[in-house]
Amino acid sequence: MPETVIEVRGVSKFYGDFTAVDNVTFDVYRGEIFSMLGPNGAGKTSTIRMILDILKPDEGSIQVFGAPFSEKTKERIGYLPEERGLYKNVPVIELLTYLAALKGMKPAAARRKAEALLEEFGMTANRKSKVKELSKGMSQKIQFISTILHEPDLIIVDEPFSGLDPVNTEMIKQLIFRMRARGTTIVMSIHQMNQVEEMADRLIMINKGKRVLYGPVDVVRDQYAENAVIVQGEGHWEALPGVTEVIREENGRGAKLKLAAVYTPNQLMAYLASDERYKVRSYALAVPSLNDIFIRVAGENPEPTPEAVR
Amino acid sequence: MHLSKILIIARREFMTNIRRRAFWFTLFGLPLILAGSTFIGGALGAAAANDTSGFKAVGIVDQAGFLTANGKTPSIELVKPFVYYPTEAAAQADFESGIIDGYYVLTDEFYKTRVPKAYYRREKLFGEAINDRLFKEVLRPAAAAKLGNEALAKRLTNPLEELVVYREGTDVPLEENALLAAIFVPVIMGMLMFTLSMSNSQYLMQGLVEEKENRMMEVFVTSALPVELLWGKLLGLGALGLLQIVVWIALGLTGALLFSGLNLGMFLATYGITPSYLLVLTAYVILGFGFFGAVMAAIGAVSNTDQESRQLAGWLTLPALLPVLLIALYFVDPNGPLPVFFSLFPLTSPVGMILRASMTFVPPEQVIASLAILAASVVGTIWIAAKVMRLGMLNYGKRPSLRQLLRAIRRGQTELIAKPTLEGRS
Repeated sequence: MPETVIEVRGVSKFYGDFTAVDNVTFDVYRGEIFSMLGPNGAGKTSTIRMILDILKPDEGSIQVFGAPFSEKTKERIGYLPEERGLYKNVPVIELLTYLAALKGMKPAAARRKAEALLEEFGMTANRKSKVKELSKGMSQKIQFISTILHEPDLIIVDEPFSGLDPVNTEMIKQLIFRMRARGTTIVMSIHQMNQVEEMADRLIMINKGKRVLYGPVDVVRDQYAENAVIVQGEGHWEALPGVTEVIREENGRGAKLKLAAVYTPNQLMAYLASDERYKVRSYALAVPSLNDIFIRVAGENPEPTPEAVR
Repeated sequence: MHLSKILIIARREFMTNIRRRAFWFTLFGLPLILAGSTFIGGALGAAAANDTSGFKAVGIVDQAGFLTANGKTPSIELVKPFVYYPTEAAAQADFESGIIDGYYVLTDEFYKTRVPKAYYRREKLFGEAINDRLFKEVLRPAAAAKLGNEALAKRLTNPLEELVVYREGTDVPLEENALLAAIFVPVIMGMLMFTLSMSNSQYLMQGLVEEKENRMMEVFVTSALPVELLWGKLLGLGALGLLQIVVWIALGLTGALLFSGLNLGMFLATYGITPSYLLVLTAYVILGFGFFGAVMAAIGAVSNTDQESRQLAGWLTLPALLPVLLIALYFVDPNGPLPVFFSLFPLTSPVGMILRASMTFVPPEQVIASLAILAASVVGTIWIAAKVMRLGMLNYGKRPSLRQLLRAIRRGQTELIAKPTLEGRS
């Protein structure tokens, strides 16, 4: 059984008559990248703020590192809020040292680590610059450094790639992977679905305050997989047994074949292999992208989803 | 609550604010301006008051027979620039021809009014300097000669000069300077107290609003408790305030040493500044800053912009200034009901008590009671400020309502109300 770092049970948050978070339950395991998805205003940031004890839940309970939130917990967490901000008139190195010291790090150690991270991010030359002199991308990087400087066991990052160019996005992505490899737990609230598909181990999707998807990324995608295949090649696809509909891709190179419920992709593949009239160059299950699922789910009313397993 | 975090925050607060230009201006600029204006004003005033070199000749016509015992020649020798004229017509003639700059006439009324008539040119007025010389060098000796009694003559020409003034509650007579000091020391000390307790506590408020404006607050609350943040800021800025006082006292003492010709003890005694007075002053500076700092923190916590917080702070600084605005009350009776109330009520006591203590003897039990009330208010206000801080800090763009504030204070840190705003996400 994996070690649970965050345990959220039946949590709700109300702002007057408005229900921001509605009976949400999930776990985050040690050493995984856990992604929180959902449209704007879905309740992601409220959930994050409740995990961090900035807000108190009106219902339910939250445990972090196996216990209710305490002052000691704060030192083990790095948080990058969506609403970014830094002191404008303070030199970078001083700011980083100060923020790490507040997280319980010794100033000398904080300074050494900050210097090392600045070098890694190619910002050594800016160590004495004031934040107001930096470009937006640079101050984003400084903020990210401040989140991980004190070597937290858990980092919670809200839209970590917003405002970053592809090079810096890749740099931070690789850093997150390295942290995961070292056993750091990463919670990411993120909009870019391709990043989730590429990075996340598990995800939760919240819509209108309710949990609508939850589980390992592959399992979630399988849940939304249709009984269909994508084929490229030559042949009269409509004539195949079990195929109920053929949707040709716009570039004309492939086609999506929807199958009758009783017919499996394996059976179709066996048939194609045995019939010489068909020449198949590629054959794949039609798995929906997270983007498709996101759009589908966000557009629907939330429905109960089966408990996913890791 | 972690002391180490409080100290980290205090240190940063100190270092950040010591770099502010406004701080250095207040530190050196204010005493410089004060000293400069006093010096220049004093020098100009003194020069104008004593300088009569511009007058080449000033006539005196004695119709009253005050100077002239025999009616012909003056009973005393006149010193320059004064010149005796037997008739007003002769003086008038010399005045018109430019031989004299003007003339005094001791009319028949002089014995009743003691005011000589004066005729002079518009471009060369008879000011205090020449009038003073007339009294001291002409009229008083003449009176003495007439009476044969110099002491009586002195009293006749200047009845108030022999007045001896004592500070209330003491039997040591005060010097002439001390009379002026009795008026100016309370006002200056009151204003000093106001400046000290306000300027640094406003930095506290500005800092908090800035942290909300640049969204640092959300990172902060995941690192430290609001009460740690508040105490840290209060300590850091308090240390800055102490530095300010030390520098000011050093500058003041240096100035006093130079001004008093190195007799500092005498100088301070003249101005009614005793060790116990300085002790009380220091206590009020520290507690006054603590109290207003906490008040400003609470304002900073519920405001969203610098402008908004300044408006709110403006309303709260008004009561602090009230004792200075109503200073007339203190001159009438520094131990009257309103001055006593002002010296006990925490919003007015830092300035109010210093005003009173500068003017009169305040019973020690009142000072102790006032300090105790102020200290309790500091603790109470910081407690409230910490509660409302958590409420206010996430309410970007929206000031919490009074009901929300009261609820936050009642439920404390377990309840936060952060209603999402249009700009904020869920």
